[in-house]
Amino acid sequence: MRRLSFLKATVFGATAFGAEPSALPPAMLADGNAVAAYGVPSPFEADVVRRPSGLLSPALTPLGDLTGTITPSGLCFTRNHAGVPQIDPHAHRLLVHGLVRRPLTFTVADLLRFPAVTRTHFLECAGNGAPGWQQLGATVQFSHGLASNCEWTGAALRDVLEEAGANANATWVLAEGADGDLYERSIPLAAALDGALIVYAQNGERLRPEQGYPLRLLLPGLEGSANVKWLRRLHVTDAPAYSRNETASYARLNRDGTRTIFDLTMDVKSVVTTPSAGQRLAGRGAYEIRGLAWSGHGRIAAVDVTLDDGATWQPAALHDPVLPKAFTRFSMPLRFDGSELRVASRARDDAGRVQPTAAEFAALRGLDATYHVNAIQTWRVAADGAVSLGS
Amino acid sequence: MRLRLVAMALAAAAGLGAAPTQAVQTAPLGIGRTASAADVAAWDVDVTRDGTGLPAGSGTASDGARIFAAQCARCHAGGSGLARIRTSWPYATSLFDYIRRAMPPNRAKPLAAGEVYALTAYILLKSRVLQENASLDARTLPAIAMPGKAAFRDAGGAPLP
Repeated sequence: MRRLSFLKATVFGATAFGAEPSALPPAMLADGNAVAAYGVPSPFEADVVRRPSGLLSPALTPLGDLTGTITPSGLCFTRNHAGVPQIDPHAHRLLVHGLVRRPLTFTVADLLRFPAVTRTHFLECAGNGAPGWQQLGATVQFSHGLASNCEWTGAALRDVLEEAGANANATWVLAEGADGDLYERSIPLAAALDGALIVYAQNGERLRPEQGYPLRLLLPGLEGSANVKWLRRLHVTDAPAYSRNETASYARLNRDGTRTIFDLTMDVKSVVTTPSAGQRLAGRGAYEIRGLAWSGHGRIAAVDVTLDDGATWQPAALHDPVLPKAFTRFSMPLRFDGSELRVASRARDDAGRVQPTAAEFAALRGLDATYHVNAIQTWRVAADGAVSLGS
Repeated sequence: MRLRLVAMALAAAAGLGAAPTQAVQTAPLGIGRTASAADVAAWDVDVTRDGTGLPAGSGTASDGARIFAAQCARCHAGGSGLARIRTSWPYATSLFDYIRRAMPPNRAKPLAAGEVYALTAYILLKSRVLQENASLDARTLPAIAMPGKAAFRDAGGAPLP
């Protein structure tokens, strides 16, 4: 009894230090809530959501509200072509056939028996950064939010194909999903064997339905739409199918009017997430510039930051871990003195590829490019600290 | 090639004693159930640009107009967008493939092979690739040259086959 009152006095200090009991915050004056069986964010974080949401429309990740490099599963960007199917994992099957010696059918439980591989990789929609998104909202969520980064666990696609015994003349895999339009893409076998996974888990738990539950392809560094969700069939072939979603859709427009298909690797890219459009610096003083960089070709080697629209650049600090084909967090101290800033980042990967300026990108790809856009993004910080889209 | 080598290396390591020039006959882990030809046939709906996978049957553009009005117009009112197919689809075979696998979305696919040929013919008529009296089947569909194909390049910059 005596010990309890002692604890009370120590913890609350109310009597001991003479503070008014009424100064205690409301949360301390009521019983706490019961623990939810599956936890969700605080109601005070209700603005940190994907936007927009709807049956078919893509939903973008709120990159400006997130820290570190792992995107929470419920905030991963999503794009689908016929809505999100609700699939019973016990009824789901994966068929592997074509140029193989043993056509095989796998259950989800079968795939869990393969050696489990866990790796962290980004996924980016081919249309991330297309000019149209910024008309929906002037924030980094709309300019760059068709990209997310998760820890993925699954069976190596190589192991699964070896189980079926792919023939020597196999060069392509046609991957098909179990959604309402039997979405299909042709994947070059060499790319498919370069670290590809048949994934059943993300961030430590089974895939979310929007991310392909119960099975999806994960092709590190390749455009999101090739990472077929709700995977149900792999057709090993010696040629692509040239199906609708790799020709009429997702063909990359070039400056000369030609359209490139099967160039699937996402280029080196970065963006400053703080400060970014829609945010506001609260006044003069110390802040930190923070951002994300990634490349479908490999690791990020360096990120430079400019405060003066590219006149001068300084190296940012890269935060561990710097993983291949994954988000890398960078930062640089900022002392805001009320002078207007034009803030941008420029990434370089370990293959030596450097992120182009908007003008360099337009010279290469023209002004109508909507796929594989990786130009440098500039934010304007006004004298009052308000941040908006820059040049 | 690389796959096969890895498979052989795995098999050798597992003591299966495969000769270096022979294909491995046994699955490395023994996971999965053998799929029969019927299992594969029931699921494989792929149609590739050379016509591989096209079924028997045929259909005309005039039949396609009737089917389009009954099955497609509810969402594709007036057939807007069909004209663009002329330039944005490099292969006519992918029209058949896409209609059969995806249309109408999110429900049972009611269209018989002949109806899919007919719809493909109608769409190619509306996109000024085919004539009024056109009829398509597994032989004539892959032979169609799409006007937009010349603008497409593969990842290496080469024109499409």
